[in-house]
Amino acid sequence: MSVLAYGVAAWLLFVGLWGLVQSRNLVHMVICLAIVQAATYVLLVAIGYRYGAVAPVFAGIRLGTVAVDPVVQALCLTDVVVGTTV
Amino acid sequence: MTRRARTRLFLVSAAVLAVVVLAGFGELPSFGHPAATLGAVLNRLAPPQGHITDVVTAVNFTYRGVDTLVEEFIFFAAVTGVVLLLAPLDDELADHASDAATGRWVPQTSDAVRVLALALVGPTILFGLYIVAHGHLTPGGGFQGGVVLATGVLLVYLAGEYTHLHGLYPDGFVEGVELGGASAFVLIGLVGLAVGGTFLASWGPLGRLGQLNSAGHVPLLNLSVGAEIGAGFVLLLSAFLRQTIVLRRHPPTRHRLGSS
Amino acid sequence: MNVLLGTVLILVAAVGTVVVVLRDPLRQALAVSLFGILLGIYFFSVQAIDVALSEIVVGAVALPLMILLALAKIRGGVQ
Repeated sequence: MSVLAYGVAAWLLFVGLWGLVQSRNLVHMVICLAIVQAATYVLLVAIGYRYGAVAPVFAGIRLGTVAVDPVVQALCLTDVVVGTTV
Repeated sequence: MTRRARTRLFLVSAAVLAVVVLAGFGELPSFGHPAATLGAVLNRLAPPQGHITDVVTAVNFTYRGVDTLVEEFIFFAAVTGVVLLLAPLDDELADHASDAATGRWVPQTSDAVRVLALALVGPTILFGLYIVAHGHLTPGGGFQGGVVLATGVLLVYLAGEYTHLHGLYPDGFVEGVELGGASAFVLIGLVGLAVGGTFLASWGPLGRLGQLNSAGHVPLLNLSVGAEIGAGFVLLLSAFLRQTIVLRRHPPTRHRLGSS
Repeated sequence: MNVLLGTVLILVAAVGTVVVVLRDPLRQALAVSLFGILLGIYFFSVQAIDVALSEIVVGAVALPLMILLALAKIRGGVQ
């Protein structure tokens, strides 16, 4: 499972870079850049995941329940916004 | 650089990168067992401290609020850049603003699309406002809700014509909203400076955990971000539409929109 | 749970590859939209709900819109 999650992130990174290098069309280049960014999202969020944990939103959930890492998700959120501006 | 040389250079550098990446990934904790403790600490700390149940929003707006401020300004700058780039040039005449501009055949929007879009405008805007307002309680927040709000405006365009969009949301008003959102964020931060001693310090009634009016200044920040993002996307949409539909550089030629 | 996660990851990798391989930007726009939704499902599966919401909102609405409008602008300007 580790191999799959991190492997997909690495695969997306290289596939995106390859498309970036091979592209002739500017719009195609920007889209491949978006794929590379998606690779970073996958990696970041995969790092924060904990088996059996819930989302870090405690509306209606008892406080103190084990949840996944919120810092990584906040980073990812900012990343997505910056990706949009690109 | 020729194509083959480029490919070969890429393969070499990709191989080097692959070695680095594999070495780095080897150090990562196995999937499902994170080693970081800051996240666990924040999960325990944020609800009692800030009376906020959505910890990710808490991190974005209180613990790392400055990052969000910079992110908003990146967005603001990008929108400004696009609007400036797409401003009408001297040799581009503003044709009469209608989808069926003379000489340009645009497929007529079907009635089904128009009715559906019209029906969805109200619920979409309501949903967008809900996401923005409840950002500190449930997943969501300013950015997500803002884009949904912009989608509601886009539906207005789909349901009608460009003139309707321009009439309901004139550029000056939308720009004012975006500016208001951006400055509100900074002003809220400055109030935090005045009250708490650091920029974006927490102020405002903390309220009870889980209530809509809790978490101090975070709902206000959410509202300002939502306003800015929503208005920014509407500006982008408006600028692009003006370029593709209204402005014409030469006498109109027979050109079908979207064909290859 | 593991099966879901594994399936989504493999789908993400597959659609990502398809996006890069496609040449026509118009088809790519649709593929990127699908990619965004798949990515959103992946984020849901790892309990990253805020990120999933942002990604779906951006990838299904904002990104294809920008691409399609950019394409229309480029084609409209060509004489």
